[in-house]
Amino acid sequence: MLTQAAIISELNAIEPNLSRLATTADRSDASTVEALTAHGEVRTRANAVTLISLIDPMTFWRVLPRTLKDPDVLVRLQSVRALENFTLAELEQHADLVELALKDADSGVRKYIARTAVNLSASSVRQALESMAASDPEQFVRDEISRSLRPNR
Amino acid sequence: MPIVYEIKVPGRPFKESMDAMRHRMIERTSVHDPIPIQIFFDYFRLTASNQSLGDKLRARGTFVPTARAYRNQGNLVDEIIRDIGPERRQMTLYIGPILNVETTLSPIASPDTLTFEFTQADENDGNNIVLGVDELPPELGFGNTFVLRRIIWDPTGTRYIAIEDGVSDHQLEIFVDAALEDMIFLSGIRGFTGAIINPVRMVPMALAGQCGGCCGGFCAKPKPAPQGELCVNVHAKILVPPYHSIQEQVTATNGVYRAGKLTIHLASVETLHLPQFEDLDVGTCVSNTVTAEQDALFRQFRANAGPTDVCAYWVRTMTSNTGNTIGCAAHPPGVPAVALMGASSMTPWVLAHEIGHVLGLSHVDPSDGNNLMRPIDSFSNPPPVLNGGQIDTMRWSELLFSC
Repeated sequence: MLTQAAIISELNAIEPNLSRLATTADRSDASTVEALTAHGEVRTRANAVTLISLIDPMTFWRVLPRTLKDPDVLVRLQSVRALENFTLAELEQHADLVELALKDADSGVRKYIARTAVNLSASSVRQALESMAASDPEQFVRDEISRSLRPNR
Repeated sequence: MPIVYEIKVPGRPFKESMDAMRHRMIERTSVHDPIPIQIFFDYFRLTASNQSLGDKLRARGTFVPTARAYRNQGNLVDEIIRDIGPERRQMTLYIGPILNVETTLSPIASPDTLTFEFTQADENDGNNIVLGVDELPPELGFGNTFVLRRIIWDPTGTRYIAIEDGVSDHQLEIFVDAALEDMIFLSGIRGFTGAIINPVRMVPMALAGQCGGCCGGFCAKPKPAPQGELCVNVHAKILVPPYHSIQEQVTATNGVYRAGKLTIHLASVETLHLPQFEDLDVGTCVSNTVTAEQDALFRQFRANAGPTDVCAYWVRTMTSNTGNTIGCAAHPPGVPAVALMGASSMTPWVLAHEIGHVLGLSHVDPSDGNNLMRPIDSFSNPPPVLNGGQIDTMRWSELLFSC
């Protein structure tokens, strides 16, 4: 079991290696890391979301609805990037959260969640993506989605 | 008196794992338990980026206790370890089908030194561990084939001792020095009275930049470190303005680098409107491994920069599925670049840290509280500092020029 100080130290590293940390952490650390997803420091919160996705998926899915609404974009970005650590089947089960992230106000968040979402088959997600491809306010997001959707058509 | 040609390599970065391996081996050998073969060669495997060697060693299983010693039998291993020694020579590691090894623990009561003595296998002469090393200094008169006779592990490091095949007074030693913390590899000669041979200096492959691969391997840096004031050109590329101004970060960097007579020269400043790269995908941020986004940004938006100039890109965020990074020095080979966030919570020395990576530096232990290259962006007594070994390493960088 890791100390909270050791976890925070790695979360705040310049180039954190959370995959490596995840190999030394286990589910007994999940409650500590879960608490850190609500930490006062933005970076600590953001990387805690990543770490919890790597060590305890059940806790990750529980905190995700909250972290996807975090006031800081970095936390929301890491939340959607952490989704890349899950299988398509797991993502399909949480399509509602993917759909929620697709509506994010920040174009960076939409860019990354769109990359993940294009692989899902849930009709609500497909419709949201089709809509974004046509009318997302940011050109690069529209381009990103259009490029990704094209092979599936 | 034998002629000993010693290749000395820094073991400080591996000290923790070396100590752990040694303690595990001492525990096992003290009760005559089986010992895994790969542990003998983990150092070579780690430093040479040679994954197939690891697989083959694991396939050989363990050394099993016999009446007198240990024995291992399996498919022969014949692997090339790339880019070791001067002129990026190769070392071939050949492990015969049958190996015998005798162990000694000393002192016996509370052992801290473990010696493995490889003895002749029973069946024929070919069952040995053989190191093939090319391009040793010709003045030595050494051949290329050495038989590993002994490995000595103690708290000072690990020493691999090999004898030239058929010439017992020609000895090659590879010493992984646990106290040597800079990333310069030194070779030297003992007991040689012939022509003068300059020591050979070697740096890890990853630090030499042009050798490719990551995480180790060696290649030659035969020239001496340049003298006098050295400069590197840096081009600022601003996608998102940072909290600390560019000039403030450059000044902070030069404040740290001054001890090494190194200066970064802010050659140009350019603002780029590239919203698609403002939240940059940096992947795992490992040396020489870049994402498609990093590759596109660094190659396509490099205006005014020469091939040895460093481009520094300030973005809003850098993310991946394994975490958020505030600075990243991973760049395509031959395209020196760093990427940085510009958050208010960052110190102005992250630029210095990342350019330090580009110039060849690795992280130091976090307990080194005021070193620029500690992995954490906070310092016990700012401004942070560089040690002599780090300065020496940076001054070898081919990105530097006399200024």
